[in-house]
Amino acid sequence: MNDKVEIAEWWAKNPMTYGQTHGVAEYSDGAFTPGTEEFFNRVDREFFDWNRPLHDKRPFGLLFPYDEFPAGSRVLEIGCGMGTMSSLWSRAGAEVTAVDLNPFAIEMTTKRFEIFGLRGDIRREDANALPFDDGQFDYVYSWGVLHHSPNLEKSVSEMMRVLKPGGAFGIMLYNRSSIWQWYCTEYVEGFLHNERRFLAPVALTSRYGDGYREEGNPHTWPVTKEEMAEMLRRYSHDLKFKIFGTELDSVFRTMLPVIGLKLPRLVKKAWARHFGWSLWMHGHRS
Amino acid sequence: MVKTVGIYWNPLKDYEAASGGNPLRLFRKVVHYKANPRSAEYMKSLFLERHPGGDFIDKDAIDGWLETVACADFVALLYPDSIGLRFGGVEKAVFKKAKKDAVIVALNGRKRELALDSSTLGALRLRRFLERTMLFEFVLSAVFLVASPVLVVYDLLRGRR
Repeated sequence: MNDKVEIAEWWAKNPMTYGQTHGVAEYSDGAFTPGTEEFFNRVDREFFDWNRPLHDKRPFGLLFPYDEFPAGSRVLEIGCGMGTMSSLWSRAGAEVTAVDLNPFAIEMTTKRFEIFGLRGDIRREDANALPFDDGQFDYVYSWGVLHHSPNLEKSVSEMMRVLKPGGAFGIMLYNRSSIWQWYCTEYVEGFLHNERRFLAPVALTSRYGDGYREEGNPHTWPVTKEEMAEMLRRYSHDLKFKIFGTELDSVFRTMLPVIGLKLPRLVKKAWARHFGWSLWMHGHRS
Repeated sequence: MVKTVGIYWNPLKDYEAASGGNPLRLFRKVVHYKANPRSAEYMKSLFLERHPGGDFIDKDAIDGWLETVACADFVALLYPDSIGLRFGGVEKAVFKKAKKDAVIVALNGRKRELALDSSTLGALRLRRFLERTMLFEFVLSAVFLVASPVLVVYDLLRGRR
């Protein structure tokens, strides 16, 4: 079966709802019907909570360059999922285009925009072959998506092609040089649970990436800062990286007996800053 | 006709039920969480998919479960987790009771089937010891206690807090 078909189908059946079980819209306060206003509000609350350190007075205000791209700016999101982030940009007045390979994501984002009266061009597209003109967008971003399909380099190349010179980009990918990868995936699942006897590295990381407590997902391959620097340097003169580890709170609780419950915030932040699971890279197109 | 039995047991259910702030109970809850054991329904479905027509035996539900092993040609020990935590006693009893030429395997909650030869059993025993004692995690905690101040100071010197 074609990789991309398998990947799109898997994510359509198991969307990222940020629920207690991957793919299911159930949270500590109950279940929600996908596609309803209550569901979208609940998804957003959970997603924002997971990423608390990244907000200022606006959600993701410490990452997204809202002030640099005022109302009317042309913004593209690659991998819109349930539409949380694209709705933020639409509310900020941007002309939003949101794409995803997963038909359920397109259905949900379209419904969300209708329910909340937002404007946007939402369509099912392949990040490897975007149907947009060169330099069409002012700001292009992708959050936790491109590591879930092969041909990352092609996706990045397309992203940069449709971004205008001087425009800005932001990409979040999973970080292979992280505590999550080393401890949770390679030590606990790979060695302790003997899974590396059966699974090659990409299969192991896919199985124990998103949806790891159930059956894993078809493809996850995290990156390193060095790999992305090499890939992006040709496109950007001011490339910067930031690592964050909003997952480390829960990892430390199982990884460090006793002290994991008592680590001061300053210490957790230091470890997250160097060895967190999320690698955010941003800059301007040369 | 090959007689196949699958022996299911969930020794971690007391770990899951552990409650209260008692350190030992909290410890067991963490072990349970990391082991991520599958339910009886999941294991039964997996066993019958792999061995249609086999007899699924819940060790806790049947007093004479060991007798079913004595006449089986193929015995699958159904580990709800990956490595059969606390299955050591069951393995010994099964190996003692089974026919000399019976095939004995483990089918685990990650859908892997393992032939239980001496090398595999040795590897499993090491992993069970590490998982139940969290020895590696205690060593890691000591490393963290030493490394954390160094990392914090390094960041403070670079103006990052």
